[in-house]
Amino acid sequence: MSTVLSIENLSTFFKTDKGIVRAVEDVTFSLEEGEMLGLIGESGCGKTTVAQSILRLIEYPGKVVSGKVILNGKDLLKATDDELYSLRWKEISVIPQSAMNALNPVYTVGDQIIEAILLHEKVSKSEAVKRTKTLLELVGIDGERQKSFPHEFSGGMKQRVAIAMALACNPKLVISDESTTGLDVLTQAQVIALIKNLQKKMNLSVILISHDLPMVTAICEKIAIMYAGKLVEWATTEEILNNPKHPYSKALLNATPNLSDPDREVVSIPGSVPNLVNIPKCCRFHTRCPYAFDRCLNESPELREVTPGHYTACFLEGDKNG
Amino acid sequence: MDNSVLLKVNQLKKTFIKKSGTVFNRKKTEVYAVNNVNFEIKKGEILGIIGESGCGKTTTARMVMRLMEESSGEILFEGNNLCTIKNAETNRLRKNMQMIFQDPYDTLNPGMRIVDILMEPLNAHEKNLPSNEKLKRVIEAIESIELKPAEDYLYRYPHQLSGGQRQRIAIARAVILKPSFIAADEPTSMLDVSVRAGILNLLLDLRKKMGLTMLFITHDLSTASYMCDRIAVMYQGRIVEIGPTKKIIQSPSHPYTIALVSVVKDLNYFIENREKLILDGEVDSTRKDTGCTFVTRCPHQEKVCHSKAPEIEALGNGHAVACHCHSNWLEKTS
Repeated sequence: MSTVLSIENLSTFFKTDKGIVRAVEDVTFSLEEGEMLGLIGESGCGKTTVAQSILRLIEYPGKVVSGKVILNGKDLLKATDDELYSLRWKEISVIPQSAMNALNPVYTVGDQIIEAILLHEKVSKSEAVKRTKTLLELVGIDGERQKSFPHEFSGGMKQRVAIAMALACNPKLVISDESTTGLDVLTQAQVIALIKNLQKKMNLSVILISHDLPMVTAICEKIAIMYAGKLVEWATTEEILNNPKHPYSKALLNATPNLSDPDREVVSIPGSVPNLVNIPKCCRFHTRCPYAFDRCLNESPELREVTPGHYTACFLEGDKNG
Repeated sequence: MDNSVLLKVNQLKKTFIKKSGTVFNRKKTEVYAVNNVNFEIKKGEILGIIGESGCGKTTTARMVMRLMEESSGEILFEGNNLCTIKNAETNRLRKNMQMIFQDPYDTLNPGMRIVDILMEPLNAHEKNLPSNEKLKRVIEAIESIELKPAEDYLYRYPHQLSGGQRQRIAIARAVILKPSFIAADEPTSMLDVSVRAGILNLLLDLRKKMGLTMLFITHDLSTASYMCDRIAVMYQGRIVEIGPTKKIIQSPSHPYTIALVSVVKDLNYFIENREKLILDGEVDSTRKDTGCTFVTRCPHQEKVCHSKAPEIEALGNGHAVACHCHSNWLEKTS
C-alpha cells in the first residue's frame, strides 16, 4: 500500500483581538491507499480546521503557519491556485457538514452535479448527464430524480446527493466532515453503510471526521484522536480500543456508554477544555489529567511512536520506552 | 389505581393540522404526532422513550407536563387526571413535576444571575418562605448538582458557565422544589461526550438521593440503556415496543427496534445486512390511520400490515410489541 496523504507538523492559527488562537498545532498523521481514518475529538478541538487546512480553505483571520500536506508527492500548501483547482474534486473532495444546507436550493441536484463535472473534466454535457445518473444510482437514488430540487428530498437523501457529488470526478481521497451529524440514528447508519461500501468498492481513502466514538471504532481501520488543537494519539482501531496510551483516549473510552456492557459505569472527564487563546507551552490536557506532573505544565509533549504504528503525545509513554 | 404507579398515560393522542395547497385550494391534513400512546411509570423508576426525530417523544413529554393540550386521552398523575383538572390545580401539581430541557444555551435567561434563576421556582411555589431560607435552598440545590463551592456560582451569569455547568443549573432548577417526577428531554444531546457522562451520573445520583421518578427522552440507545429501567420505543407517534431495558437490548422483537439495536451493537453487521434489516423508505407522518406505520420500511411486511394497525401485544415479563407478524419472522430468522 502506498501513502496517499501525509500531514507533517501542520499548524493553523487564528488571529483575534484577544490574541493568537492556536487552533491546530503540530498535527502529524498519514493515510494509506484504501484506508479509512477516523479523526475524532470534542467540538472545538480542531478537527474541521485540519480538514480545511488540507484543502487550503482557511481564510483570514486564520492562517496555516507551518507544516506540509503532501498528497501523492505534492505539497498542497505550496501549490498555486491553478494547481489546486485541478486537484480539488479530481484528487480530493469533501462531503460537507450538514448537507441540508450545502446544496443550492434554486438549482436541481442534477444541475449541481453536472456543473462540477463540466468544470473539472473535458466531457460533453450529455455525457455529464449520463454520469450524474449513474452517480445517483450508485448512492441508491433513482437516476431520474436528478431533475428534482433539494427541497424534494429528505435529509438522508440530500446527504446521499452530497456523497454522489463528492464522487463526481472520481477522487482518490474523500474527506467526510461530520457528514452524518443531525440525521436520525437509522438514516445515519444507512449513510455510513453507503460510505463504507463505496470505499471498499472504489478503493477510496477516506478521512471520517466525527465525534461519535462507537461509530468510528466500528468502521475505521485507524483512528486519530485530537484534543484542544493537538493530536494526542494515532493508531489502529484495535490498538486504540484495547491498548489506549494517552490519558485522554482512556478517559474518552470510559465516558462513552456501551451497549454490550450497559452495567459499566461511565466516567466523565473533570474540568473543561482550556481556552486556546495564547495558550502557553504545556500539555493541553494537564488541567484534566489525573497523571499530570511538573513536566506537563512547562513542556509540550511531542507525538512519538511508542510501539510500531502507535503514536501518542504523552510524557508518561515516552519516558517508559527511553 | 395501583399505588406504586406514579404516572399513567391512557390512549394519549395529539394531532396537528398541516396546511398545504394554494390560497384557493387549501388542503388540511391531520398529522398524527402522538397516536394512542399508553404507558405507566412506577415510583422511583426511569422510563426511557427513544425514537427518531419527529416520532412524538417530545410531544408526549410536553403533554405530560401540561405544556401542550392533548387531542384526546388521559394522563393520571398521583391519581389526578391532568387532562380535566383546572389550571390552578395544575399549577399546584407542577411543584411535583418538573422538566429538564434539551438545550442548556436556550433555557437559561441570559439576563438573570444563577441565584435569580434558581429563586424563580421558589418564588412561584413557596411564596411564604423567608428570603434567607430561600437562599439556603438555592445553595443546597447548587451543591446537590456538584458545583462547589456554591457561593462561587451564585452571582454569575449563564454566559460565564460552560455547557455542562449550564445543564447542571437547569437540573438544579428542576430539583429545587423537591419534585417527585422529572421529565428530561434529551438532556445530554447538546453536550460533549466527556461532560455527558457527568450529567448522566448526576441524574442517577439524584434519583437515588431524592427517590425521583423520571421520564427520560433520548434518541441514543446506548444512553437509554445506561439510564433506564424500562425503555419504550416510539415510531411515528406510536409505541412499537416497550419492556425492561435488558429485554429490549437482548431480544428486541419489533423490526424497527432490531434495526436500531443492531446499529448500536454492531455497526458492521448492520452494514453487511442492511437490506434484511430495514428498507430505504420515506417517513410520512400524514399517512392515514390504516395499517402499520412502519410498513414503508419494514423488510418483513405481510398483507395484513397494509390494512390493519397492529395492537400492542404482551410477550410476558412486561415486554410488549406492536407487530402483526413478529412471531412469524422471528422463527424464520432464528
